[in-house]
Formats: sequence, C-alpha cells, structure tokens
Amino acid sequence: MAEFEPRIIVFACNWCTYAAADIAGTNRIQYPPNVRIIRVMCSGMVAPEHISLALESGADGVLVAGCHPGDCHYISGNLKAEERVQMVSKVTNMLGIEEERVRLKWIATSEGTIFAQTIRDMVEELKKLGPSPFRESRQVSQEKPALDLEDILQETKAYYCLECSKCTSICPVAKYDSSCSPRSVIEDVALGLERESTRDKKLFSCLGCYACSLRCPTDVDFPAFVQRVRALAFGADEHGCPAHGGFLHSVTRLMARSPYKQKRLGWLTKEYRVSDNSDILYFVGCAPYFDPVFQYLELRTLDITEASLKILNHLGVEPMLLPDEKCCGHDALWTGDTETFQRLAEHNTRVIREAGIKKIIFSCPEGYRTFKLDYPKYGFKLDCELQHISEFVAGKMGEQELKLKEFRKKVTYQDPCRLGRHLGIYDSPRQLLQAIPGIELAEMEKNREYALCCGTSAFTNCDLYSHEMRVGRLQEAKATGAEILVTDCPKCQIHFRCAMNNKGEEKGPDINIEVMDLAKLVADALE
Amino acid sequence: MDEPRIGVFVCHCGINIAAYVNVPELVEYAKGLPNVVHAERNLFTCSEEGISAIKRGIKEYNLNRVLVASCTPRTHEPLFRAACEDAGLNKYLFEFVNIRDQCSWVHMREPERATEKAKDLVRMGVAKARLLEPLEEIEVKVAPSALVIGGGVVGMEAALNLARQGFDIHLVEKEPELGGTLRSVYKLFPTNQEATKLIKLFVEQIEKHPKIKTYLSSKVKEVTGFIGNFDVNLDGKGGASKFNVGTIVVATGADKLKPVGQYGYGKMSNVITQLELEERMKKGEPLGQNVVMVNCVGARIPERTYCSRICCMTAIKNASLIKESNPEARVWILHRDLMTYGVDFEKYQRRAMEMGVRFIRYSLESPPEVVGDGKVERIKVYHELWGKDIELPCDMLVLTTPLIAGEDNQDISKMLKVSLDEFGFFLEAHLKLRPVEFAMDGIYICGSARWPTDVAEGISQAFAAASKAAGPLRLGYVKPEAINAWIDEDKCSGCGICELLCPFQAIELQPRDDRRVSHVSEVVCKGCGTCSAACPSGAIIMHHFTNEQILAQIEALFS
Repeated sequence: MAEFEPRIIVFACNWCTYAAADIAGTNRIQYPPNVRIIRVMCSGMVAPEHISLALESGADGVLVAGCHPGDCHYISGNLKAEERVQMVSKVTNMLGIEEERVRLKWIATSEGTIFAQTIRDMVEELKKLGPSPFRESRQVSQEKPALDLEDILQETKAYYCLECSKCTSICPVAKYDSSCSPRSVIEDVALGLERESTRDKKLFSCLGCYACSLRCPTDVDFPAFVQRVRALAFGADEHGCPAHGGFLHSVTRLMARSPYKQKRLGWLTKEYRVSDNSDILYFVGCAPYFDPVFQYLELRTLDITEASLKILNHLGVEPMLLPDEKCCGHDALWTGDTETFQRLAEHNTRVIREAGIKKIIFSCPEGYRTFKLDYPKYGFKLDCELQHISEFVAGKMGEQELKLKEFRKKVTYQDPCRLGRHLGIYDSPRQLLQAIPGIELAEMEKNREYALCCGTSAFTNCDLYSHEMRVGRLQEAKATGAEILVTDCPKCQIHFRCAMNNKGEEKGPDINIEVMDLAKLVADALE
Repeated sequence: MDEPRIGVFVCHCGINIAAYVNVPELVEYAKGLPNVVHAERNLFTCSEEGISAIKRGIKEYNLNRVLVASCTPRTHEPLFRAACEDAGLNKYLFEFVNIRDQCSWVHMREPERATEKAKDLVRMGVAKARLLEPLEEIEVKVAPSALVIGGGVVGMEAALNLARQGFDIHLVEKEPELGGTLRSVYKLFPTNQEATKLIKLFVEQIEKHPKIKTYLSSKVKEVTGFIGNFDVNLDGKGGASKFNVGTIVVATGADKLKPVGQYGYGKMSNVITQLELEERMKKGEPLGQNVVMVNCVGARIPERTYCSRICCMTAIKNASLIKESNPEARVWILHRDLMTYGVDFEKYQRRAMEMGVRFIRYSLESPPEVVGDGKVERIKVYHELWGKDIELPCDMLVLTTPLIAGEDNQDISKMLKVSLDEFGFFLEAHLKLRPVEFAMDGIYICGSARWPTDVAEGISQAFAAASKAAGPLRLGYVKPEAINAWIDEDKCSGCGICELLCPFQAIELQPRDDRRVSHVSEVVCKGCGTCSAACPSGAIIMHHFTNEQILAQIEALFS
C-alpha cells in the first residue's frame, strides 16, 4: 500500500508567507509536495469557517500563515488571525481533533527556509497521525429527502390554509420585514412550485417561534412545515445565509461525522459533584463550544452549565455528564440538514440508552425541545423523563427548601420560544425567580405565549430585521424599569448582547440592559 | 454575468517549469475542467509572444476569464492583467496560479508529484476563476495643497520642498515662533554650525515663499476626510481657520525628558541637562573646571528600553565645545555604550578624545553616584576595567537624557487615525516597505515624531515625506484599491463588529432610513478582509477574495 500522503491547505498572506514560499522557490529549497497554498491578502481575512470547512472537506492539516506581529501590511490583521485560529483550535480540540491539524505560524518574506521547514515538520507530524477521518465521512451529497411537497402538505395540514394571513399579522419577522409572509410561503408549496418554495431566501428567515400557531384558525403547523421545506431546499443546495459564516453549522457537521472522542468536559472542576452511577443525566449541550466563539460578546456560556450543576448539587443531585454527548441537532434540523440531525440523534439516543439514564435535565430550551418533540418524530425513542431545569427545581421546591440569599433587583423575564410556545413552559421559570427574596419580577408588555423573539434562530439569516427585533424587545424590557433581563436560552443571550455590542468609543450601543441567564441568577443567590 | 469561458495558459518558463512539471499533460488536464474552453502552453507566457497568445485567445475563444499558470503574482500579475485589459477584459477577471515557485522549483526530485500538485492548483484556480467578478477602480480628486504639522527645521524643510513644487502649503506651529527643538540647541554636530543660524536660514525662506501660509501659536483641532480631501480645522492665536488639503505631513518632533529626582537634578544647583548646558554655553556662562556627563539617564532602562540615538553625539559635541573654549577644563563622559555611527560621527568622537575628553563606561547595575552636600562635589563610578570605584571631581554634572514622545501624540493619533508605537512615537505603515508613510493613505511622517533623529536625518526624512506627499498632489487623483470590502446593506444587522475591527477605521455605522448600517469608505479601505471574516450576518463581501471564492478553492482541491 502506498504511504499515506497528507494533504495540507495553507492560507498564506500575500505580503509575507506567500512571498516566503516564492523565496523557497527561487532558492530551490525542496520540501514535500503535500501543500496547496490559497493566497489571501491578509491572514486576518481567513475566517473560522474557512478552516473548519477545509477540515470537513478532508484536509489532513490546515496552516494559517502571515506576517510576524508588527510587520502586518494591514497593521493588525495578523493579530486578528491569531485570535481566530486560537478560537478555532479551542473548538477543534474540544471535538477531539488533534491539535497538530490546525496551525498558525508567522513566516516573513525572507524566511523561505522556515516556510519549507514548517511544511516538512507538518507533513511529518501528520504522517504520524494518519489520514483525517473526515476524508472518508465527507458528506458527498444530501440524500433525497424522504418527503416531497405533497407529503409536507399532508403532514402539516398546510392544505387547510385559508389564506387568511393571520399568521403574517402576528409573525415577528413580517412585522419588520414586509417582504416576509408565512402565508405566501405556504401558497407556493400548495401550488406545487417546488423551485420557488425552496429558493425563497425568506424561507430561512422564519424563526420557528410558533407565534403564527397562536392565530391560525385551521391549526397549520407552519414551523414544522418550514422545517420540512428547508430539508427540500437543503437537498437543492439552498441554505439561506448562515450566521457567523456558517462556522457553527460546520462544527456541528464535523461533530456528527467525527469518530474522535470529544474533550468537552475540560471546564469541569471538583467544585461540581457529578456521578457516573447516576441515572439522572444533565445534558450539557453546546455551551462548551459556544464559549470560545462568543467570547467577543463578553459572554461565558459555561456560566449557565456551571450554575445548573450548582443548583442540582444544592438539591442533592449529582447528575451524570456524558463525555461523548453530541449536539442535539436542533440547528441542523432547522436548517434542513436532516442527515446531520439524524446522525446526531442516533448517537445521542444510543449513548444515553447505554448509560441507563432514566431522566434528562436540560438547561437549554432547544436541546429540550429537540429531544422531546423531534427525536420521537424521527424515530429516535428514549425511555426517559425529560425536564427543563426550571421544572425540575420548581418541582422540588415543594419538598425541599432552596436556601436563597436576598437579591434586591427588579428583573424581567424573556420567554425563549422553544421553552414557551414550543413546550408550554411559562410558570416554572417565574416560580424560580420569585423564590429569590427581594426579586421583583416585572412582566414585559408581550409576555408568555405572546413573548417576542431574540431575532435569529438556528444561526441563519441574521440581518437588519433580526437586529430590529432585538432592539424592539430590549426596549420593551427597558420599559418595565427592570435592571436585568433574565432568560434561559443561551442564544437569546448571545443575540441580545450582540444588539448591545459597543459601537466604538463615543457612540455607545443603541440600548443597554444587563442580560443574564436564569440558572446563573438562581445559582448566584444560593447560600 | 455570462457563463464563464475560461482560457488557461500554462507557461514552460523555458525549462524552469517544463523540466519538472509535465506541461502538455497539465494542458490536457486543464481542458477537461469545468468552464475551460481553451488551454494552451507557451514557452514564456510573459514574452511578447505569450502576451499576444493571451490577447488572441480572448478574442478567438471569446474568453471572459483568463488563468495563467506560471510564476508568482508578486512579479507578473500586473503584466498579465494589462494583457487582459488590452484585449478588453476587466483585469480582475484574471487569475494566477503559481506552478514554478510552488511546484517545479521546490519539488525537483519528484516531477510526478509536482505535476499532480500543479493539476490541483490549476483546478483550484479554475474554481476561483469561475466566480471572479469584474471590479471597477474609482478615481478620487486630490486637492493640490498640503498641511505640514510642526514648524521645526524638519517641518520647514518639508513645507519648502512641497511649496517649491508649486503646492499651497499650510504650516502649523504650536509655539509662537518657528524652529522647534533646535531653538534651545547651541551648535550642531558634526559641523559645529550654530543652530540659530540654520533656523534663520529656513525661516527666511519660509517667510518669503508665496505658497506657504504659516500659522503660529496654533494647533490642529480637527481633521476629517481622506486622501485627496482632508478638511482641517485650526485653533490659534489669530482665531480659527479652516481649509482643505490633499495630503498631510506630520513633523511634530519630540519632547525632552526632565530627569527630575535623578542624580540630584532639581535639588542640586550644579546638575543640569545637555540642553540646559547648551543654553549656558550660548550665553557664555562659566561652567567650572571639572565637568562630568552621565549618558543614558532615563534611557535604556526597563521603563524606557529604547536608545534615543542622538544623545551620545550631543554629549560628545558639548564636551568638545567645552574643551575648545577652555582647553584646561577636564571633561568626562560616563556612558553605557556609544552610539557614534557612520564615518563622520566616529571621526568626531576620535577628535574629542584627542582634545582630552575622557570616556568611562558604567553599567546599569552600578550607576554613578553623586557625592556632595547641597551641590555635587564628586562623582563616584565603578570602573569596570580596574574593577574598583573611582571618584571624579565635579563642578558641573550634565545629564544626557533621551527624547521622548510628544505629549500631543495621543491626540494627533486619534485625530488623524494613525498609530503610535509602544513608546508613544508615531508608527509608519511598514518599517522597510513604507518608511515615511502612515498606514492611513495621504498622511506622512518625518523627523523625531517618528523616532529620535539628528538634523541631517530629519531633513532627509523631510525630503522623503515631502516627495511621497507630493505624488498624489502632482497626479491630481488617487485610485483606491479595488479589492476592498463592500457591505450588503440588506443583510447588515448593524451590530458594529466590523467597525471595531477595522485597522484603518474605514468602517463606520451610519444612519440609513431609521436604522444604522455599516458603511465602508472605499477610499480608506485597504482590502485586508478582517471585517468580512468576522461579520456574523455574512453582509460583507470582500471583493476578489469572497467567501465563495475561497470555499470554491477548498472544495475543488478535495473534489
């Protein structure tokens, strides 16, 4: 058998590293022919998704190379590249991908020898590691979706649509974006216009928030309908506009196909008590992965995880954490990538079954919804009780006393759509909040089933309307006089914080209010 | 855009490529790639013949994309782009693949694998070429005038140079008179010319030059705009002024460090700095029989690690001048190292030694000590070669201090959107590649504002900065980079991440209807793509290096 020859993609900045490769050429410095250079103007141009997609495509190694600090043709682009590669490395290392596969190196114009040596070293290291497992598991083409337009109409009863437009009248997206209309999306499908339906960019703007279902006189399940049509669109290579460059979706796909053992519990310290013998599972979800990605918003998503564990421990529960739990698949499913979703669901249900779990506690509303509603629908059945942490704690409050310190603040509560309208959980988070002495809960004008959205779902189609939705919601929160906006979805936090991202020294954000996770608030109040 | 029709031109580069890469095989391979309608090979694609082949190919095959597989874009891209333009094809529809520096020259012992790699690179190039889009270069008019900030000899030289070329110059000096730091200097090394005479020479020319308008006791309050079109607001003695210039030269010089608290400075009457010494010498005041100078006071220490370069020569010059006026005087220079670079300076130092100036080296670990009550009487210093302390009689202790970054630098840097280095001096775009230019187009730097310089160096830099600043003024227009970032306003959520990231401050959130969206100044943008890599909404298109183009290359490699 021929020796394994690694394939390496080098993102080389035009001014330093690309020139260094030229110098290696003019000096006839020989190095192994395993690299393919992609020229970029600056290493700061290399986005996280470029690296992750290279890995997904089957690259055995990726090198981002630019000018030495201080030498950047664009002042500081290389330092941005460094931050990004470090972020990506944190994520890929968590996925279990060997750290040698993603590298950053400063190579100056004069350093042709260093360029050649870097390649030699990388080739040698990668030969030791062997081929990337993603070469084989690469998704070649989407399977033909199980359903066609007619099936979708049947399943979601969309043919009952009366074209009354009540859905459009309540749709939070349509409120800001007049070109978006749930009714016309249904109409296209009902008329059998497959091309129009799947190509409609607005198809990916739907938040799946279920506000429309409040109004529909004929009980059309529009979000489920959208979910299905998106799968058709995905098959036709239509994806909407993925937020954050599609990096998060790419990470999900890598995870779904990865044979590696994840290193997702690196944050877990002795401070938290967990047990391998428990039959209660705490589903950690994406928090460890979100953490490095959203650092720039000064958000630590692992705070939610740690707070949840603290609360569970306080109630005497030492849950099991699964080191090989994977993403629940929510975003894959809602962007039409059913294949990835099914891989993830299959994996999760299998490892959970094998671990003998009787009850799963979620802090993330999306994970909860996906396990509860989507897994069974796609045939992934679990014989477990599923609960949101607020339900679990509220349930315990009758029998066990939560020892909570006084916290004298006026707060308001954001019902995440997945927890509220999807699963009907409105009371337990409020019960928890009100259990904290001193807390005054002020409701926003639109609350419970009428709550407004954080503006983006499944990290897709984040645009000006998303921002307007956020600002609108934040204004409502502000109007209550609350100091803190409490929510229990990490994505709500991400999106609200983004809307308040500082806009330079003088200008400041459009609006400002502290945003906090419910579990974190409760955990901080524990004695 | 029509369906891509790509022409591939593979260069033999004589034997440079063809001896190691199987060029005919590569050409055949290229013919089979999607959207490639023509592929051929040339002995030298960059030769007259090769260039005609490209032009002919464009016409004959109705090509709307051209790919050349040869050497490096860093040397040959302009040539091939020009060939495309000559044949009526937008030059940004050209793609370059480097199979010489990246294949034949570096994989000489593995010709087969070099050929395979060349095929991969061509396939990746074709994948990108399919997605190339024509770009238009805009032209921005340049106002034929310049602002020079700082009226020292360096600023004056820059102003004169530009004025002599026929441009209207606004020269701004914050002090009531021109001359800058040199006003307090006695004589200049290595010529021993009197500084005041040099200043006079400059001031006379400045004053009589019809193209130069001088603003004394004035400060630049606000600068807005970009190369070719800066709006300047001044605050000054004579009231506020407003004008428009095409380019700006920064020649604000540096400040002098006052070594308060060191070696009795400020407490003992006979401890002074070199500049204070020069004032005394100018007035002819007596200095005493024994003069000790300590170099590197406040320089090359952990808190201020840099060497100020000009102070060693200042000390040697002043020591020589003392010896010249009073050969009986005894002068010691206590130093850590000597910065007397170049032939003239080295000669100057030898001359000082011949005159009797004595040099003693001390180390940072055991600095000289002051002995005396109320005034310095003796200086104790550890003599490294003798390995023991020695004591020198001292009537006057002169401290040699470094130049430090000007106190206004922070404000000016914010106002002009230009960078400062770790010590607060101004920082040029690139030390070697763009030495007197700022990263911000149209703004230039010279003299001690960048780094401590002596007069001759400062004046050379003034010439350099002035000639750079004159370029766009003479041309009358600038063509900003066409490879730049573009905002899709329909997608922009107005989160402002790009604005925070842009190294050139080319992006600003601006009101649009009732919201705020990012706006890229296409004149200021340099096309680094730092913004597009971070945009959460995918709203920033980095022209010529779009996400789709980069991903297509990755995809093509593994397909």
